[in-house]
Amino acid sequence: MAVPILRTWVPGDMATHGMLNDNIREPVEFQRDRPWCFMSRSSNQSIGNNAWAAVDWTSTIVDNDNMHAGGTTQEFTIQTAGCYELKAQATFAGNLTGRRALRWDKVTMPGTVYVGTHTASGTNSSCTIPDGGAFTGNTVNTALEVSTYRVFSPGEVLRVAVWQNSGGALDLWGDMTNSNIWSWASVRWIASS
Amino acid sequence: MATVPAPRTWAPGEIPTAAQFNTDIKDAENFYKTPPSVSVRNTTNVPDVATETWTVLTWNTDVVDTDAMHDTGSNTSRLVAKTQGYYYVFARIRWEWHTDNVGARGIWIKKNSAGSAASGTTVTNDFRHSCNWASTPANRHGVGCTGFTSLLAVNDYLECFVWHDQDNLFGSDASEIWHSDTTLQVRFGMVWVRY
Repeated sequence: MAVPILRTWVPGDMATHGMLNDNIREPVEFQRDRPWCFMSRSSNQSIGNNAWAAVDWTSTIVDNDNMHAGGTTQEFTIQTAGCYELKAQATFAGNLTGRRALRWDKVTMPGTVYVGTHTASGTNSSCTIPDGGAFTGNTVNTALEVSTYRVFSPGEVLRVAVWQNSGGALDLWGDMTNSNIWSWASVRWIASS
Repeated sequence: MATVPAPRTWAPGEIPTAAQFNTDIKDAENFYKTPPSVSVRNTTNVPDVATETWTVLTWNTDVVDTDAMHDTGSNTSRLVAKTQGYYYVFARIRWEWHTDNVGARGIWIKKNSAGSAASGTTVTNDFRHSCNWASTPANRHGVGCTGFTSLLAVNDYLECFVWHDQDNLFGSDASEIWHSDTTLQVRFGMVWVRY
């Protein structure tokens, strides 16, 4: 998506329809519909114990810059240069054991899981107390959220990865079929870099 | 209801009028300078949130409300979309402190749920276990979440539910949501981000 570059008007300029469209219409259109990819899941995804796993995003809510159209269902490919807001949420099924984590990865070798990657944002953790003991008799869900801002160039690829150590496989919730957004990821253009 | 700018396509030979400049430049810039947004809080604590019961919160004070999205007189739990679009949404609450900090805390934002956690659809949520920090005043539990809505039609609304299973030392299983004054950032709000 082209980021508008606005004209500097000079004395004597006669505004043509082309100038008006380029300098008024296009910037307003861009403001109204900035590059944004907002994905969720239509079903649960089983996450193995004690191993980072990339999330498969299967339900498109918004993708106006084809960020999720290519590659795998795990990948977000930047199409427009700029500073992006990355946000993601992971809702795990209830389980009393262990901890949960969530992170954004920038994938330097698309298609190769976790090879040549670095973490684009920090790991978040929940379902934990300092002494590591059991906290409650209720088996409640655990929801994690992480957000960051980063500058990206076209072609750079991002993924969301989750981790848990409940002792066995644990479901990451998804339910877009009933319009519930339990786990989601958002890549949103904020500003030119 | 705010009007989302629908930018004009200028035609060859067209001479812009003042009205067109106002609509296509002034109004458009004003919309993006102040998109529809609302942020609400409470001036008193919310007492007696029963244990293990999703409870809808009501809000008695508007911090920001640019599009008449919240009414402090009726349906005070609701943030109502008056302009169609996708919205960034956020909620943050703070539970009272107990010397016996156990259990979990939850916050859940739902769409068109009519005050019932069993109704409507999920927008975003935060479930976490309490932290038993030793020093005061840090051991009041904060719970918060952000997210984005799917496309909201005019009069679709969001509500914020809370949950806990604190088994406290005061002979009651009820817990309290801390009030939100100007320093405690207990808030519920949303901001228009896309048409």
